[in-house]
Amino acid sequence: MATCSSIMTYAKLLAAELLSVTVHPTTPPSFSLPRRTPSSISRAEILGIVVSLESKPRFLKFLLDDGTGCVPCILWLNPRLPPSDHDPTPAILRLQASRVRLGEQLRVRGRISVYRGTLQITVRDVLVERDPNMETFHRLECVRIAKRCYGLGKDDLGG
Amino acid sequence: MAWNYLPIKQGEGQGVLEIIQWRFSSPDTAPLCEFSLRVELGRDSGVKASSFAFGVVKSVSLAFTLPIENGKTGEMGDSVGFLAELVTCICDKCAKLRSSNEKSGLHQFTESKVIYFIKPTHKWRPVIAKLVGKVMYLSGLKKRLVVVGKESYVMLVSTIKTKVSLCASVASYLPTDHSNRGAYRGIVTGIYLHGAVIELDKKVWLLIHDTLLVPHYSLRIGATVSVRDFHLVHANFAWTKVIILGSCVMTSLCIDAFTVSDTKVLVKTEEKSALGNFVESLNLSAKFWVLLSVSCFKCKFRAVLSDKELLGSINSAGLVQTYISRSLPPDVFRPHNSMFVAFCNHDQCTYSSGHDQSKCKLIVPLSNFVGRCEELWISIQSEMSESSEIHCNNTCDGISYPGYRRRIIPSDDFGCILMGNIRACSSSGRLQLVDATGNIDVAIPDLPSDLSVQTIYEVKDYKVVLEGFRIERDTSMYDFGEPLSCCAIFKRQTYRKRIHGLKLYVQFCLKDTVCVASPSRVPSNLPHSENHGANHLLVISHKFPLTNKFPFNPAMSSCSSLFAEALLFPCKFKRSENGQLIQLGKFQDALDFSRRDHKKASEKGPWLAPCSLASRNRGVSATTLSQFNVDSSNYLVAKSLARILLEFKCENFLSYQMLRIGGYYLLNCSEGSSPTRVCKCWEKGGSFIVTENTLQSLSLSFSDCVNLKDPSGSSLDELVLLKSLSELHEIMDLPVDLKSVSQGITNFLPPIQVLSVSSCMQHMFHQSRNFYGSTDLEEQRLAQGDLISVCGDIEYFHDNDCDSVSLAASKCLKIPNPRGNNICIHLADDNQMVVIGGNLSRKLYPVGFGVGASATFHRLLLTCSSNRKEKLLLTSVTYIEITSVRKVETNREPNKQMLKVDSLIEPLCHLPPLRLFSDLHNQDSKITRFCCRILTLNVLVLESCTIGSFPAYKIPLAGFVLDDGSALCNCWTDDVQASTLLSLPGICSSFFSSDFSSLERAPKRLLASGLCHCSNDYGNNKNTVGYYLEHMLKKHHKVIVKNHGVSLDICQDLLFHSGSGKVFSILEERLLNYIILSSCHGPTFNVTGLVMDASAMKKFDTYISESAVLRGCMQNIWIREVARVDPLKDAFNLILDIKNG
Repeated sequence: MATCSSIMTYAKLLAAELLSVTVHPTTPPSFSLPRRTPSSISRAEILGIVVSLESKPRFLKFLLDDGTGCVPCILWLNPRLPPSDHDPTPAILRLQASRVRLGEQLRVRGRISVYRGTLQITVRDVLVERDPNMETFHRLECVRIAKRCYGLGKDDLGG
Repeated sequence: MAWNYLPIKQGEGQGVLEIIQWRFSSPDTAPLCEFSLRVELGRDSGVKASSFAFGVVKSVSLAFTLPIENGKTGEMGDSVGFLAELVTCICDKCAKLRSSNEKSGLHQFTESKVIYFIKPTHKWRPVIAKLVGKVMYLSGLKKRLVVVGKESYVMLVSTIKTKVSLCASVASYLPTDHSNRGAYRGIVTGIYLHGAVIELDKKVWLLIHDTLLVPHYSLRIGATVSVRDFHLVHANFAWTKVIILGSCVMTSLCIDAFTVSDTKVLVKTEEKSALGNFVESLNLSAKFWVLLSVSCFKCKFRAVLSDKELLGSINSAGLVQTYISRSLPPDVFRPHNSMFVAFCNHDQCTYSSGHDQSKCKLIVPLSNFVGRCEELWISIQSEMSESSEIHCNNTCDGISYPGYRRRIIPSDDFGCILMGNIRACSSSGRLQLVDATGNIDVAIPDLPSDLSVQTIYEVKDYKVVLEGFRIERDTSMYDFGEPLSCCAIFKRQTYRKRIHGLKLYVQFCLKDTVCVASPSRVPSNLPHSENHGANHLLVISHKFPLTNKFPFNPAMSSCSSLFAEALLFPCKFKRSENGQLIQLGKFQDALDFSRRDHKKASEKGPWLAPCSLASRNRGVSATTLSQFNVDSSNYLVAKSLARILLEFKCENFLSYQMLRIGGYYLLNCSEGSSPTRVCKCWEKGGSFIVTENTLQSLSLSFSDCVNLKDPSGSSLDELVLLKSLSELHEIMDLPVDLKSVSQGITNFLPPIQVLSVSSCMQHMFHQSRNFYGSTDLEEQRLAQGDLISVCGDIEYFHDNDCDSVSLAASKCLKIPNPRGNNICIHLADDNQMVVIGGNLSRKLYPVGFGVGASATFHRLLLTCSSNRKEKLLLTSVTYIEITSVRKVETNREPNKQMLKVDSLIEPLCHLPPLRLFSDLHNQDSKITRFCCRILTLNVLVLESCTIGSFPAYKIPLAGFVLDDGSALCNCWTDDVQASTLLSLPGICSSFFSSDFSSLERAPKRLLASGLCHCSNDYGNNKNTVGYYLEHMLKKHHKVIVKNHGVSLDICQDLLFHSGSGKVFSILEERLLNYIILSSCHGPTFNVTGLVMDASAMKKFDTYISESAVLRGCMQNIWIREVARVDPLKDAFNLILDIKNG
């Protein structure tokens, strides 16, 4: 059951789930999972392999593939101007950007957004996962959370 | 007639003619007696010779000389002759025959008669021997009673009237021979020991009792021979089975086909030595074993012992005979009879094996033994491949490495005895058993200090350890050619080690060995009477491994040496002249005295404290000479221990091997004989070159209970390679009971602390807060950190060529051996595992180093790598001690109790199941576990404190918002858990490699801000987060960081409060910001905690900001434990959880 804090949480999702969310035309747009229990989400955490990479001075755009789908992600390298002391420092942003390499297994957290009609994740942080078992663990966590919080039924599990 | 010409000496034209075909001059077609032998001279003498014999020649003896006494005249003389056994016909018709011409018809030859051909008919032997199996008629014989010793025999004796006729046309019927005599025809494939042993058809062994039996020149490799009348023995020795054809006085050997492929004459007749006579007194199987042993001894010790020392001479016994006569049971000896008696009583004597041959073990040449072990290893590999075993490869960082195997094989499976000298290898420093053919590494758990390199040891009870990585190559390409076969031993084939990946060594206890031969100069294992100096008491604090160049002193690098570091006690021992034993208890007085009243001591001069040392063999009295370096505060403790470097040259590597870290020894020093004189050993940084017998082990027992474990506790699954010091109590040279003065002694000692893996991880964790090692090894010139000692089980190890940390470490540490491999060692105990990296040459692996070994790593460098992980590094001074090894199968189950890498929690099976924050409302259990990440910080409180005399900091409270994907939760914690969640040990590298690069460029700013001090106690360790936090807290005493921001996405509105009211500098704020932001981007943690109620939250009121109050709808948890996630184990838990609904 969703709690008051669930809308703020970074929902652990598989790419296929994330790409199938319902977009509500609000400002800013809101998203909900097509479940028996209606669940609104705004943030997501996914884990996958970097399969495409586009580097620009202001941002880094990459595709994350977790086997169920490919999620576009964007990492802004200068999010706000003028910068505040408490913003992620350029060093931290550079460090995050340096982690994004083709073939790397990454765990990405960020806000769900829509750009030109396409869903994407505006990246908050990037973590390299070196242990290949993390992929299995992440999938199982997604299933458990979907079952407990978003009303995933036995039929869905079978899929 | 036809012949071969055999050149004896090349180039000199000398040689012999070998008659390869001949026959009697009379044609075989003659009706009756085609040919006859008679003595031409004395035909008309009046000798009565009316007896005759008609029968089949069965066997002929060698010609021999017998002292003879004429029964009638009593005259003495030597009689040369030979014996022939004739099976005669006893039918009435034959009894009346008087001429060979009358013989015809069918005869039944059943009665055995012995005919003694004496001079001058003894020359007929070659002809008679040729006629074995044919019917002969002998006339002109006379019947005599021959008395030999107490036995008397009635036999026919030849006279000068004796005439031999061959009756080729007489049909004969020989009854079946039920005796164990046999006939064999085969090709000679080997002639060994000058013709004493002949190999036929590569499968049977003919033992020649007298080399006169065989034709010297004609018996060559390749010839076809027929052997008749031998004794057949199937000998089952401990290591092999052989078929032995034992020759005796009746045996005949004929060359059926001569060879021209080999003209080398291998048969020689030598004078019988004491050893030869000894061999003749044995039964056949024992004789064969002795001959093999002689061959083994000769090839094993030909370099160190002369032939005379080994084999003895005509009158004296050599080493081989002494050893063998001691080893053989008495039932293998048989009475030695003269040839005459042996021939006449042949059927009565027994040639059975007589004793249990399985006790006869091969005294194996070590190179053959190594060959056999390699052969075994290949067969083990093949068996495992064929059995379609699942090869369980080990992984490290996702990279798969081949499986590792270790087999422990008992000596009984080999049926071999090891024999050789024990020495320490000059190139590797390892202990080895050595003979002239090769060497093999050994591990001796009870290595004493009085081991002599010249003593030959016999090792019967041992265990062979074979270990290595799985061989990927086709094992069928290896052909070892049966290294333990008798042929290989007689040929003295030596084997070279061929499988480089195989580590092979032998473990045995010295108490189970037997000293076969001692050097003429008996080593003294007691306090040395010839040593006139005093003895220093020292304790070994460290042993340095062998390196090509000793890094600390270039002057020492010219020669290969080993070094050990020792601490000298401030007292000396000297043997008193009167030899009286005095009570040891006074030693305490010496120690107390030194502490109490140094001035008094200096007034009275050196102070003598009598004591007694009980030697292993005899009582030795000793006197302590006080010689104190007491400082002004009268403290003797630790500070007055002199540190000394012991140097061991190549020839004394054995002394190095017997040293144990933490062991006590007496060091004889000629300079220190004077009680008043201070010898060089006391000078700071002094070194001492150790020679033979200058060190004696000393067992100091501090309690009544001496732990004496039975070393036989070693099993085939686990093998002890090194006993603990307490277990070595009984083999020490000087066991001394110091239980009454234990406090005094131990006060002197600096702690030599060996951490378990779990303790090591705790240590790493705590150290990382206050002190953290090098931040970026690739940029640092020297790696920084603590040297610690860790013990545990080697779970796995592999080459790690791409490990940048190890490469950088080896570069920074200037590890001397550039050919050393980067290695990654996984060291584990029951719960935890650490990874040790660094540079270690394969050649310098200690004996037993491998998977499944219980090891202690002394002086590992604890430092930090650039990939944000704590790391233990091997350095050039790291000494690895292997205490035991266990059997390792490739398909072994991974240790289920093992929790990988740096987690600090109990095994997961003991932990509560994983829950979700969203389920907290329904939670009935108080202690819960979650997998979550930090979203943001609520509050962080830092306080300065001191640990000992060093500044430090602590975290009294830290509050975070954690996210597990289902909901958010306020979590509170302190101390270690807070430090882990903040990732303080890991964030330093990125911080210093980025932001603090500006610090390097702006030293003035740093100094002004108080973040950097040039003069500090930390030396090179100032580039650590811990260092800067401590110095920041020195200024502010207490720092409180609160998050007033509403958004959870970023830490927007952090407010900093200083306990001292001082203003934060920009860099201080940046450091705190960096710590907090880094933690908000940190990894997933495994968090165990308790749900807090509202009353429990009240004590945090002062720290909770308004924004946190706004987030009050969240649950609150007090975190008790934090660890990294183990995805594999947690995945299993999740599957169970999902299945159970």
